[in-house]
Amino acid sequence: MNKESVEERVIRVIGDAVDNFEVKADSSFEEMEFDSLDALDVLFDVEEEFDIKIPNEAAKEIRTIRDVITGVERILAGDIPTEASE
Amino acid sequence: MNEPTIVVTGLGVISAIGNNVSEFWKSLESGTSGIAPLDPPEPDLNFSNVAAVRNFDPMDHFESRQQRNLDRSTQFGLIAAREAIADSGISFNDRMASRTGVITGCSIGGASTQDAAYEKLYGQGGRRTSPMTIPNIMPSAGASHISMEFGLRGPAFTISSACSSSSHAIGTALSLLRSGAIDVAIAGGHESQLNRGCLFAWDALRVVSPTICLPFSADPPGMILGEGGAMMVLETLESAQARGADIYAELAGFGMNSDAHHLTAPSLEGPTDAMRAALTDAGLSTSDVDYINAHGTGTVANDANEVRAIEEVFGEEAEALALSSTKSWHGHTIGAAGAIEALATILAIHRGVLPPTIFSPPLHPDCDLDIVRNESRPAQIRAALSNSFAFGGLNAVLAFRQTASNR
Repeated sequence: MNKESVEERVIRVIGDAVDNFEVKADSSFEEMEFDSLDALDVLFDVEEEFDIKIPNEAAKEIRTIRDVITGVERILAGDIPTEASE
Repeated sequence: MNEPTIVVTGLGVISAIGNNVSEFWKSLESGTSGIAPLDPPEPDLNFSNVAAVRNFDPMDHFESRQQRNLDRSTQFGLIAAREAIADSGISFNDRMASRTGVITGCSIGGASTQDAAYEKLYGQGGRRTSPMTIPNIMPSAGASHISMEFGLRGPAFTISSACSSSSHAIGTALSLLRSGAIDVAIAGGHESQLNRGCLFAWDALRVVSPTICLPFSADPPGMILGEGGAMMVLETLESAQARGADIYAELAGFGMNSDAHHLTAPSLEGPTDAMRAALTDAGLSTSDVDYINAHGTGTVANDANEVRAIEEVFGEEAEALALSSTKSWHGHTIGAAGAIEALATILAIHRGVLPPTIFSPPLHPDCDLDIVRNESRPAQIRAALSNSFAFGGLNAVLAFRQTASNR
């Protein structure tokens, strides 16, 4: 079984949350007609999918699906600190 | 003072006994109960029946994206508002939209959303909850969604007064319309709290029936929890006539007060004075009233007290009026109860039919009023009251009157 890539998972999760739009890696939130609340809502879905925390500062900068994919990859690689030590 | 006459020109409802006005009325008229076993069952509760909305798929009403932003309770409010607005035939031009208010009643807010979010956090050790949790929980979400969907820019807000919430909302809409603050109101309420957390919380009060709901019977087993939404379009008689609208009834008056007595036990004076205030506000005498849609929860605490209050207000005239509690069919819908029962009252006037109460003898020994038992019956209803007497002693009574232009 082929393992789903980060890109595929992001596209699947966000695609499930939108009606009447085919989400692609180069789609922007603007062309998806996302407002700020819609963006928050799908970032939550992405956090759930990967069990990660997207820091507030990083979330503010996200405008495109590519931003999401890159951000998730960096968090998974440990490039972005996501929470204080527990 | 020359206050305008306020009339009802549109109705919408979703409840355990029907997902629109026509189904709702058919069930009331034929005596069809909406009470059924809880699905899935919850063996640790002391009760097993509820009056849930059935044959309902949110996807039939909302796109999946919109549905994520709507708690079940809010969905009911929006669906009822859509039906009421379509039924009224009203169209909102820019000026009309800016002069239309949305006044809703909701007791507890998006309880299903809250229950699911907390179950995930506490029950499953979750680490996050959806950003839609807060927007979906707020009790005023229904008022917001209705105003947004129809572009209504007048005052929109929500009243929370437990089981009187939507009666207070309709009564407040009446005041705003009479004062000239608005020209049209979408008023009513919505509630859904048949989630696990709320079911156990209600069970703890030991007021929920293990069987069915039998208001005014000698040994009432208790209330049945329901859910749903009901909305009405209210406007001045002048506005309704100008656009040639069909009129269901006049919203003639409103009476409200508080017992200042006890968190769950009612007083006699509060309900008595609230009914008197509604009659006075409507300019009705006791002999004008042919029907009362009782608060009638089917509990020991409410029913006998409500009957005594009615006898106190109406004296000998009490024998001439008919009384029923439609909660026995659609359950106690809490924040939606006042609006759903106001709809039953308006339709009773409009159709000339008294909706019944599920009844099983013997009658409560303190009750010798004319309870409409099990079967509806035709009647000329000149005026009627719809009673709401909430926990915490918050009383709200609406008075409706037949109009000359009734359909």
